[in-house]
Amino acid sequence: MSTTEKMAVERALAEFDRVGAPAALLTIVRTLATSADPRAADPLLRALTFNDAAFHDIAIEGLTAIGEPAVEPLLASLDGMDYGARYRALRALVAIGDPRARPAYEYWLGADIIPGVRCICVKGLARFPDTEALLLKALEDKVWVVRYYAIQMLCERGLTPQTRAALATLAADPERVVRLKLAQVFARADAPV
Amino acid sequence: MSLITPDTTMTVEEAVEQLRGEDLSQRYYAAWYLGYLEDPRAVEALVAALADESDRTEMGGYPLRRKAAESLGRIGEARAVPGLIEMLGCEDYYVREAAAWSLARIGDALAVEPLVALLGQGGSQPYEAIIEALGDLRVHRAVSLIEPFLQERSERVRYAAARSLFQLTGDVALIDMLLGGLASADSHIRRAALFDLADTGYLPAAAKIVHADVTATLKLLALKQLADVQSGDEPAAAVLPFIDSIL
Repeated sequence: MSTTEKMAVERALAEFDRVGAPAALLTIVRTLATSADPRAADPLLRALTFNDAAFHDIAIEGLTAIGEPAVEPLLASLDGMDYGARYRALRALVAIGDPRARPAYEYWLGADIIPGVRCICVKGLARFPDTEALLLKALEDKVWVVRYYAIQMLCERGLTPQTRAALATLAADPERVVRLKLAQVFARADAPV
Repeated sequence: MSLITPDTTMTVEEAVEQLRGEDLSQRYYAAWYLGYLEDPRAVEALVAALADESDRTEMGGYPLRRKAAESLGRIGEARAVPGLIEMLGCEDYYVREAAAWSLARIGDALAVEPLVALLGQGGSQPYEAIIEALGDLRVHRAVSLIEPFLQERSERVRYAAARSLFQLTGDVALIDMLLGGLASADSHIRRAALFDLADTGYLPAAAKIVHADVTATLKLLALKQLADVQSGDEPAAAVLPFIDSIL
């Protein structure tokens, strides 16, 4: 980071708490998000909770850029967030890819009422080699998109005889897109190389 | 913001019991919950709730009837059709709206005449729901009745008319009108146009849905809707790569 960039971050950190106007705040959050400075983690976490979608992707990218130092603050904030902010915090955690987030994925996959949160947890869990049982459990989710996502993730890991048998139970899934996805996955797995 | 976690441990029988009970808020919750369960065993009790007189707002609305009508549509049983048709004459605008929406979901031809009549009745009507129902029910003779609504002041009604007229005529110019709605500065209009576009079943719209300025969750729902309205599995499967691109 150049000296000029450092000064810009210092100024943005100081201004974050003072500025009320959304447009000015958006500029500040952008500066913080591109800084990759660990001190920006807290303001960016707060930006995840703003009731204004313009901030969200910027904050996620900023937290992802901070990486490892943002993991603990992100994990500590999950319980207190509304589900929308939790979804965004989990997306940042998945993008960072730190193994400490695993218990959070496992917990919120079972606990959150919003399918989007459960989907992102499936994605997070799929990165770990020993999470097959959890992904198979996600195939039983009430909401189609979670089942669909779990099929996709299991497929990307390569089908085993166990996963194949579990997936086959979705052949009578009530949602056509899920059945079609399953047929596609099996057709690809069985296609001659 | 606190999480409201609904009590989803009730059985269908318990919820039916609760729907027939005394406590108005419990009855309303039961009506919602039975729609969430989509269990046909609830149809009789929900049809009975359409005649409810006890749950009335200060403005004269019937919240329990609205919710019961909507849940009947989610369950989708033809047994609900006569009761829902009767509700097209209810004095509560939102009951009429829910009834029209549910009749479209159930897809029974018995609903056609009453819906056509309501469209022509004039006054304050849930035009968006009526027009969409006529499109979903493929009422081709309603084309000339729906066309004037392309000039309506309400954008949502205009898009509903474009959606249904596309279903009935296949005129691609109507898709362009919906794409205009997808580019609206108003997020509510974008959302309405998004689902109208999905309902047309016009497959080239998938790419537009993927790039629309709406949340990923809405894109996924719209793409699934686009797949669901296809008549065959092969065109429906063409939507999957677009769904995958959002995951």
